[in-house]
Amino acid sequence: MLSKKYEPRIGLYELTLRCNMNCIHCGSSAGQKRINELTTEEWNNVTKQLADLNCKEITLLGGEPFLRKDWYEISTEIKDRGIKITYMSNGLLINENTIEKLRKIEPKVISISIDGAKKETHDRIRQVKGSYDKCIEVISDLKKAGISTTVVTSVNKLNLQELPELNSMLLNKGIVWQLQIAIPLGRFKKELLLSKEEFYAAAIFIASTRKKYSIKELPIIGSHCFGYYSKKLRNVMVFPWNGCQAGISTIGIQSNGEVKGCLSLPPEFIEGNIRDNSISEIWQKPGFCSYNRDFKKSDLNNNCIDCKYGKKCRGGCLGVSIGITGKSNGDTYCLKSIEGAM
Amino acid sequence: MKENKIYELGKTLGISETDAKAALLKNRNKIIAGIVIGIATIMMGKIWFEPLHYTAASIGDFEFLTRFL
Repeated sequence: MLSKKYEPRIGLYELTLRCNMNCIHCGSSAGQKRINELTTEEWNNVTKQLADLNCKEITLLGGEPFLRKDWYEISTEIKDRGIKITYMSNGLLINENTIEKLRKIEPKVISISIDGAKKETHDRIRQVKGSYDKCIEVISDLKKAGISTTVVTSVNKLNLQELPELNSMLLNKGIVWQLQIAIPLGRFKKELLLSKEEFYAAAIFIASTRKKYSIKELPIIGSHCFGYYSKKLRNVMVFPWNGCQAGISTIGIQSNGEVKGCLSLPPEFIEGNIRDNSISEIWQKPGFCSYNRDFKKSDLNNNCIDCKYGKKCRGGCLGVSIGITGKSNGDTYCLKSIEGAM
Repeated sequence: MKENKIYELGKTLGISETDAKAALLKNRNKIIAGIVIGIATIMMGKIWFEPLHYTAASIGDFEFLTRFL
């Protein structure tokens, strides 16, 4: 983990914006593919450039990454360059043939979204009838094939109460369970956003479940949006929060070649296109991801103003902060801040 | 935030008071966490932690820090 100050160690590829689901919480409003999406050769060229810049891990997502017919070719290039691969998928297209190919790729992990313990809830959120049954079947098939699998649940008002039931479902299955909050970007409607109390309850749930079960029984974690610097709860995330990594260690590339520090950021954060400049040029351009690289404490907003962790935290997740408050560097879903207010 | 409030919020998700209590950071752990984070801060720019959002955690990520903090 020893590294340079700014290095794109994590690459996020939106392989396509096309999606075969229509999730109500989709931050990218995925569905139709973008105009002029990158070709196989262009993606492979991106991989080559990232490998030269010491990239360690690439996540393939979308839309639905397995809708791209060339996902295997793109994955093979990544693997051949010695870079770890992670997939974020809705699971619908994964079949015997896909699993056979995945075994050859040997991904670090493939994550499948499960957004409810009840099939009605999952199917309602994902807006595809029968998708719950398919996802459960795929998870089981992936496990049987020996592929490291993670279930990702985007928590919102519709599924919060189903967390205990999901817990029972995933117990002793050898599957990592990652919880993240649904952010009001893209299609997600603000009224389904967790209240701060619900958010904190979910954090208690994660911390308590982690203490209750061993890693073998149920490896559960909160993703980075699950809180910062709690003075009360055991760590909800895997690693301590060290500030938004967009442009620090992470780079996001949209399916039309546009580059952002992180794919969860809105369009105004596009800072170049790999068709116009090399990744190295974009990454080293003065002002790239200045919201992180040139951050000053005076940039903090909302509850983060005057926070003693401000310099390090930089106001939490930029995507969450903008999605919820419209302002940067002021993520209101902060454990420390909520603890101070209640 | 008072501990009672934590128990009350935990109950909304069916977490018993005993289980909610287990979620609380112990003083011993606070000290250890402080040391670990302190060292990480000193070495800031040298150490990175991938915060997991558009990446998914794997079982390999559950190392030392996960249970410790």
